[in-house]
Amino acid sequence: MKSNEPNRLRTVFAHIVLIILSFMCLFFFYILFVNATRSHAELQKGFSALPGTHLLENLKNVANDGTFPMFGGILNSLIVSGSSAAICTYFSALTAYGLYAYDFKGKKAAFTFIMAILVMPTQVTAMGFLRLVTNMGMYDSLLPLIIPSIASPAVFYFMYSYLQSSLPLSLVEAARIDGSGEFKTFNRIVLPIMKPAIAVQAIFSFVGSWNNYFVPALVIQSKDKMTVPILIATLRGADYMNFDMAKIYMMITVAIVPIILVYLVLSKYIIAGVTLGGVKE
Amino acid sequence: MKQKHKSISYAKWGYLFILPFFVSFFIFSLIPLADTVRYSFFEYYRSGIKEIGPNFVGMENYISLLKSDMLKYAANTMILWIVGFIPQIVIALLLASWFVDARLKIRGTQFFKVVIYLPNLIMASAFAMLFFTMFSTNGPINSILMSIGLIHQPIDFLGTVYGTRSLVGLMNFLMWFGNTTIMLMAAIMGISPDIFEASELDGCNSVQRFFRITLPLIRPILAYTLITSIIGGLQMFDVPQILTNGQGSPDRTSMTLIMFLNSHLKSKNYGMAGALSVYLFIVSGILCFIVYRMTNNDDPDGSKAAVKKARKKARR
Amino acid sequence: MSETDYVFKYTDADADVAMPLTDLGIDPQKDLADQYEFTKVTASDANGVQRGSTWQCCPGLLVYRRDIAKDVFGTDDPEKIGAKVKDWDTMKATAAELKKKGYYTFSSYADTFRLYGNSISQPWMGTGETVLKVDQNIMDWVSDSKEWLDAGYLNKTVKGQWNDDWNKAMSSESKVFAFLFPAWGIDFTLKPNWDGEDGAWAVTNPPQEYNWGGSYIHACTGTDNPKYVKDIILAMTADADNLAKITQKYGEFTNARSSMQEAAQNDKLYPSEFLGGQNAYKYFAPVAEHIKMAPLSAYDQGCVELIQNSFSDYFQGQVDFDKAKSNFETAIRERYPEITEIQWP
Repeated sequence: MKSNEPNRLRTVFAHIVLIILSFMCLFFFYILFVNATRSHAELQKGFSALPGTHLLENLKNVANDGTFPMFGGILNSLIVSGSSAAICTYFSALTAYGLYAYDFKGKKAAFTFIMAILVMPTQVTAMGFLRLVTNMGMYDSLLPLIIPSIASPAVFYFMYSYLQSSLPLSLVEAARIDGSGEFKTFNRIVLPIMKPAIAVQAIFSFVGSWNNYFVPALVIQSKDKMTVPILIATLRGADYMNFDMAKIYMMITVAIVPIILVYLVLSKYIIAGVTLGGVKE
Repeated sequence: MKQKHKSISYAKWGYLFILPFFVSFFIFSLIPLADTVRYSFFEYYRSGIKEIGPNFVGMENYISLLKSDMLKYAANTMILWIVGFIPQIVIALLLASWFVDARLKIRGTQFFKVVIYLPNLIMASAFAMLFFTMFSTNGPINSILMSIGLIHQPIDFLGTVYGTRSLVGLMNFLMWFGNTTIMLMAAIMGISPDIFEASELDGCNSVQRFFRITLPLIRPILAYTLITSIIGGLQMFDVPQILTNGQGSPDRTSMTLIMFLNSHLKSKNYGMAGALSVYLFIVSGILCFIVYRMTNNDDPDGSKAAVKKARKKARR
Repeated sequence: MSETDYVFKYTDADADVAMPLTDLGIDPQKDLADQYEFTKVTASDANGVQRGSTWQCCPGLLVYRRDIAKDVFGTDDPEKIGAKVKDWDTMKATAAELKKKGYYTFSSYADTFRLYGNSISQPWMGTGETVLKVDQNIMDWVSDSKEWLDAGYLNKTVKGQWNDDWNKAMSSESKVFAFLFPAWGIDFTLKPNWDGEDGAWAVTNPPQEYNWGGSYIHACTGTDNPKYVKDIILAMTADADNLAKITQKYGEFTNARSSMQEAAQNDKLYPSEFLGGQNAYKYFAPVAEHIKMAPLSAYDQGCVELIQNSFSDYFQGQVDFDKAKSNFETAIRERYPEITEIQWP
C-alpha cells in the first residue's frame, strides 16, 4: 500500500486551490450585492465589506427608472426565454423522435445535415436574418427571438441520444396496435418518458436565451421591448445615465438574480445535465 | 414482410415530424445565409437617414476588408481566447483529476461543483458591466488592493492593453472553467478503473498516471473541448463589447471580429457586414467540419465512443 | 424630444420628421420672441425654418471649490477668481499655481472638450458632402490637453465624463479645483456627487463662453394632435410663468431672455442654496448673450464621441499622435460609411 503522506499533502493542496477558486468565483458577486445595498454617496467614499441599508431605496430607483425599464426588461426576458425553452425542447424532441422512430428516404441525409450544422454560430447569418426579419415586418418585436428556436441542433442531438437509450421501439409498436395515432403516441407516451431530458434542456435553453445579447440587440429597438442584456448594454453606452452608481449595481444585481435563484434551486440537475448531453450550447 | 409494409406506410409521419425543424431552419438560417452572401458583393449602406445602394461591386468589399484591420481583430480575438483558455484547461484538468481521485478525500465536492459552475450561467454582459465598474481606476478593487497595501497607486486596468485583455481573459476563464471541469470529470470517469489499478500495481505515482494514462485516454474529449472552445472564442462578443463600450480600447487592441461585425451592422453597412460574415462563415465551417468528423465519423480517434461512454458513466 | 447633440437629425428639412412651427400655428417671431436667438437657430433647418423649441438655454460656467481657491489664491471671491480664469492663457498660468500646491485644475481633458468643440468654424461635414473636416479648434484641444495632462494640471485617472472616476473627482477628497457646468449640471451632477456642505462651491465666468445641452421639443410630422403639441410647446417654452417656475424649482437657466436678465440684476430672485446663496444668474446671463452656436451637422454625435476616444489613447500614452489620427479615421468610417475623405487642418 502506498503511504498516505503524499496523498494527504495533495488533499490539502487540492482544498487550498479549490478554496481560492471558489473565492474568485464568489467574491465578485459579493461585492456586487454589498454595493447594491449602499447609496451613491456611500459608494463614492470607497469600499466597504459590509452591506448597507439602501437595498429598498435602490430597488425603488431601479423600478421607477424610465430610461432603463429594468423590471419591464425582466418581463420581456421571461417571456422570450420561457417561450424559447418550451418551443425548443418540444420541437427538438419531436424532430428527434421523427428521426428515431421512423424510416424514410433521406433520413440519414437529414440526420447528417443536422449534425453538420451543430456548432455553426448564429452570428454569421445575423445580417441576412436582420434583413429577413425587417422584410417580414417583425423588426423590433419579440417574435424573431422566439420562433427560430424551433431549430436547435444541439438540443436535438441530446434528445436523440436520450431516445436511443431509453425508448424501446416496441413501445411505439404497442401503441400503434392499440390504435393510437402517431401524434397522440408522441404526446401521450413518448414525451413523458423524455421528461428528464426535456427538463435539463429546458433549463439550459432558458438560461441561454436569457443571456443572449448579439442578435436581440440588432432586432429590438424600443425600450419597452428590450430584454435584460440589451438594457445592460444600453446602460454601459449611455454616459449621462451612469451617474447613480448605486442604481447601476442594483440593476446588474436585478439582471442576474433570477438566474442565480433558478440555479441554486436546480443546481443538481443542471450539473448532471452538463455531462448527460456533453454538448454545450 | 408485415414489418416492412408498416414502416413504409408510416414514413410520411417521419417527414411530418421533422418538418418544423427544417422549415424553421430554412427560413431563419438558410435564407439569411444566402442573403448575406448575396449582399457581400454589393455596396449597400446608410448615410444618415438615406440609403445608398445596393450597387454591385463584386469583390470590392472582400478586398477592402483584407486591407482594413480585420486581420488585427482576428489576432485580437485569438489572443483574448488564448488568455482565457489556457488557465481554463489547465485548472479544469487539475480539478477534474482531483475530483475523480477517490484517494483524495475532498470534502464538499458538490459545493465546489456548484460554485465553480455558477459563473457559466451569468449573463456575460452583466458580468462585464460589473467588472467595468469594479476595476475602474477609483473603484472597489483598487481600493481594496491599496488598503491592503499591495499597491500604492491605483492600477489603470482598463487603460492598458495588458489590463483590458487580462480582464477579458479572466472573465472568460471564470465563466467556462467550471463547465470544462465537469465535462472532463465525466471523461475521466469513463476510463475503466482497472487501468488505474493496474498502473498502481506497476508503481505509477500520481503525476505519471496523469500524464501517461489519463491524458491520452481522454484525448478525444480534450480535442472536442478545444475545437468547440475555439468556435466559441471566434464568436467572442459580449464581454469585450460591454467592457470597452464597443471601442476595443485602448488602441482597438481588444476589438474582436464579432465586435467589428457589430459596428458594421449598427451603421447598417450591409455590404461590408456581409463580406465579413462570409469570411467568418468559412472559418466556422471548417471548424464545424472538424467537429463533425470527430463525433460522427466511424470514430477515427475514438472521440465518438469516448463521448458516448462518458455520458453513460455519468448517468449512473 | 431631442438634445442639442443630435437635434440636427430631427430638424433636417430633407428628413422632414419634425413639423415646422408655423404649421402648428406658432409664430416664432411673435410667440417665441423672448427666447434666446441661438436656441431658435439651433432648432431650425438649413432654410431657417424653425422646427423645434426649447425651454432651456444652457450657458456654461466655471464652478470652483472655495476652499482650494482660498488655499492657493488667498481669496474665494468670484470676481477675483473670474479674473484668473478669463481666457486660456491666464488659465494656464493659474493652472501652474494650482499645481504648485498640489491641485488639479480640471478633472480631465473631456471636461474642456466642449469649449473647443462649440467654437468650430465649420460643421464636421456639410450636408450632401462626403469629406469630413476636422476643425483647428479640435486640434487645439488635442495639443492643449496633452500639454496640460503632461504638466499635471489634469487628473490622469479620469478619462472621460459620466463615469465613476469623474464622479469621484467631485467629492471632498478630490484635488480638482474646478468643473465646467451649465445650470442643470450644477443641480443634476455636482450636487449629488458632492459630499460636503452647501456653499463650498461658487461660480464664475469660464475661460471661453460655451453652452452645453438643451432639450428640444418637436412635433412629429403626421401627428394626430397638432393642437396639443402646439399647446405643450407654447406652455413649456414660451409661457413666462411656467419658465419662471422651472427656474425657481430646478435652478435652470430658462429660455426667457427678459426674466433671466432680471434674475441677473436681482440677487434676491433666485439665489442658489447649493452655491451658498450666490446668484449664479449674474454670470449666466452675460455668457448666454455671447453664445454663438457651433454649426451643427448630422455627424456631431459620432464625431464628438470618437475623436475623444481616439485621442484619449494618445493622451494616456498608449498610441502616438499619428496612430490616434488613423484610429479616428477607421472608427469614423465604420460609423459613417459614406465618408470618403478626412481632412486635418
